Amino acid sequence: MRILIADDEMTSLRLLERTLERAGYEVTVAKNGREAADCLVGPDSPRLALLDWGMPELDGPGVCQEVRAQHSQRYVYIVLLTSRGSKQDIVEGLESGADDYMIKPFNPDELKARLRTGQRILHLEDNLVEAREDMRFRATHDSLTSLLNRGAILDLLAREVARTTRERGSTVILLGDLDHFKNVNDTHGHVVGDEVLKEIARRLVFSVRSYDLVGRYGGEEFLVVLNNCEVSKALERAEQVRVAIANLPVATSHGSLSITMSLGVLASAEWKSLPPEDILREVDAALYAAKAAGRNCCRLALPTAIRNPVLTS
Amino acid sequence: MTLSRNMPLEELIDLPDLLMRVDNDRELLLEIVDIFKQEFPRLQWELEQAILSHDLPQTEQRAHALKGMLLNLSIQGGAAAVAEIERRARAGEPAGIEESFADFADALHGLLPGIDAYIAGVPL
Repeated sequence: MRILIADDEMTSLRLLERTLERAGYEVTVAKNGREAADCLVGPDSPRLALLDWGMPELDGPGVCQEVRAQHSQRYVYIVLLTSRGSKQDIVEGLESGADDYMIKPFNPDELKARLRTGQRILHLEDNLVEAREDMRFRATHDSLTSLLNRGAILDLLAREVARTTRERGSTVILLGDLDHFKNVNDTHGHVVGDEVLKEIARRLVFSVRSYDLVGRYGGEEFLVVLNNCEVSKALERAEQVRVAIANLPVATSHGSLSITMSLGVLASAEWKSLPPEDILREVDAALYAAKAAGRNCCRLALPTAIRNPVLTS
Repeated sequence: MTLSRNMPLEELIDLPDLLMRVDNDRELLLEIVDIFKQEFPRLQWELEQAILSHDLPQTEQRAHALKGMLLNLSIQGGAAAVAEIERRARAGEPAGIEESFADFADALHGLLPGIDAYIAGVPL
């Protein structure tokens, strides 16, 4: 594990460096507080730090305060190691954000034991962060396809539409539905149906840009939000998605299956401040039109004024 | 431990404590002594200058640094003497600081010239 040691007194620095190297740590050295703070808030910083109190440019408590003010995702466990040993100093040091306080001169065994405590706490913190991220993912993603789930994609759609309206840009929304998917389940069983859904999800993700959003809207329905996509490109992009699904049969445990998708398409710039629920209604109508047109095709949702322009004489 | 003029090194340095500190590593011991020989005169001179110019914050800071170094070499009596200088400087009590420094300098007068030979004879 990497550890930062910061001390401007050379015998302390060397004793610490050697003691910690022997204990298996990868040691980074800072000779003043400024160097230490910059190192600890930088990318890929050490997560254990041993700081002296009195250092040029920035003292140990000052380093603690800077590190804590960053609210970094990765917690840094800080031990203040100083010859200031009054109760008042200890309180002040811990209040500045240090996790532990040791008084110089250090006993090597005690120092190593305290650092092992720090490592245990960092390990616990890692586990908590991992569990939190896992829960966050489960709460916002579909367990079968790992796409955004219905709630998450609708939230993001509302945000994206609001942003687009504010910035007078354009977002394109695709609502896709697999054609005759019920037949897949009825003929080959739900296990194969699930295999198809997973492969379709994968193809959807690979057919759009990394910053576009793809979610599972319902059973075999998928919602795609194409950020900053021009109106003129809407049908072209939808067609790319359709082709990515239809072009290659899907390999399943029951052999290859030809799968197609019908898509409703809506470009937000053609609609004035449409709320998300109305967008969904309109794009659903366009999807219905694609189904009615024979499936495996895309249909664009257009406002009445564009569909039936008022003619003036 | 109370300091006295020209104290012998075996009384100035707590050898078992020093060996524990370097984990009985002769190479590290020699390295630390070498750093000490380079740094100690500079820190002592800086402390003296701060005292002579009646700069209490600087006196406190230099005494603090010197104390840390002496503790690392297990020179507890010397460390206690500069700790007293540090305490007085921090408390804003200049009286007695010059005398304490003079006693400290007297006691550690033989430290640098003799330390190499002393450390060389340490059985490890």
